[in-house]
Amino acid sequence: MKQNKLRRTMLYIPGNNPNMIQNGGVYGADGIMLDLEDAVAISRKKDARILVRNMLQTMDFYGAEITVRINGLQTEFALLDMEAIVPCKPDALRIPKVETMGDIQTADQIISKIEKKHKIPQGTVKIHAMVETALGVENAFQIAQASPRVVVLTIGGQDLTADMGVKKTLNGQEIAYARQRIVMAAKAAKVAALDTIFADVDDEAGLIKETEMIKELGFDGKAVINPRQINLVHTVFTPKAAEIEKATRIVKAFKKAQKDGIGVFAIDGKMIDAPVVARAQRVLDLAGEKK
Amino acid sequence: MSNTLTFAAEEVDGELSMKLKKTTQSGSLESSDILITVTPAKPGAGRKIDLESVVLNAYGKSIKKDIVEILDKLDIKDVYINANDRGAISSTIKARTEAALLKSIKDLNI
Repeated sequence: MKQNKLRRTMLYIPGNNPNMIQNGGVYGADGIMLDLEDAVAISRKKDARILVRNMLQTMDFYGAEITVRINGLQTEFALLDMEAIVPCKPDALRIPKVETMGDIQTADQIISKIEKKHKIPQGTVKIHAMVETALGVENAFQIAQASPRVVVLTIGGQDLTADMGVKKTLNGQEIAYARQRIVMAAKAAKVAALDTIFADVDDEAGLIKETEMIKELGFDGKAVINPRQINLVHTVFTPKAAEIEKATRIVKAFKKAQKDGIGVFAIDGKMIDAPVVARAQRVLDLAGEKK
Repeated sequence: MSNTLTFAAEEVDGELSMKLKKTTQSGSLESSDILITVTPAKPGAGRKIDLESVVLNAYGKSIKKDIVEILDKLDIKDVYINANDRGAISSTIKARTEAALLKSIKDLNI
């Protein structure tokens, strides 16, 4: 299931840049987001839409999750974007500036109509809901569970701080509440939570610090704007050897306990029950181990 | 994903006049891109394609074939096209040609 796949990094690629699109799959990001919105000038919207459509039809992105960020639903471009992109069957559309569950329902209905027209199984194209206004943050849970198409809830830090009328700072205190709200809403709705970009590509230590912080909050990954940021984020999300070793022991012991009909058992003197096993399994998933 | 070129609904629905209205461009001179300039031509003038490319000897024919494929799909018979290629792949050549033509046909940039 898409919900369970790794989403440590989602690489933004400007939708009107063929060089970056055709190389997008080689950097090893878990996901690629072809951007038709903010990265494309108003006068180039049509050019980018057609380019991204053609690239989706022909390029190999080496297994990365492919999403396309369309223009906002309130713009004249959104419907044209969806009509061009949905038939190419990307894994998901990223819908920007989602504020209410009605926004998701509208997008869902349009996608459904296009899927039907092109004889694509209903529900093929998922939604990554991007929350980047105060109203969107307050409605986060309703947004996350507004449609079964929603598989990711994500936060847009730049637009959110603009909407709040505050400055985006390095420590991100101004969006701390929003981040926690997004994570909790995503967990409650059983969808993935993705964090916003880290804008200073030269500040590697800052990126690592922020990634460690958002991982602790419960985010599944982070949007990145430069291939140089991918490995740094992956390293933070990749479990250390000792964690993997312990998780392997827990999962193995759990399988044996299941066989023996035992529900709760102990390892190194600590009680192991279902939530602990689930966490251990997640560690192995992140480490790339097979279940 | 299909390898066939499909047109977005905006471009196939309704009555779309295939008449070119003005000179338009799509693309850029950046690496892996191609700058396509479309200029309307008088009826009966035919298609004229001027191509400049960093890979002209190896891929000149193939680039022109991609451009002609889009002209055929949009049923454009009379046009002057200037193409300045910087090593674009087929998907990009077709996209830039289509975008330049549609901008000229529809006189709309959305």
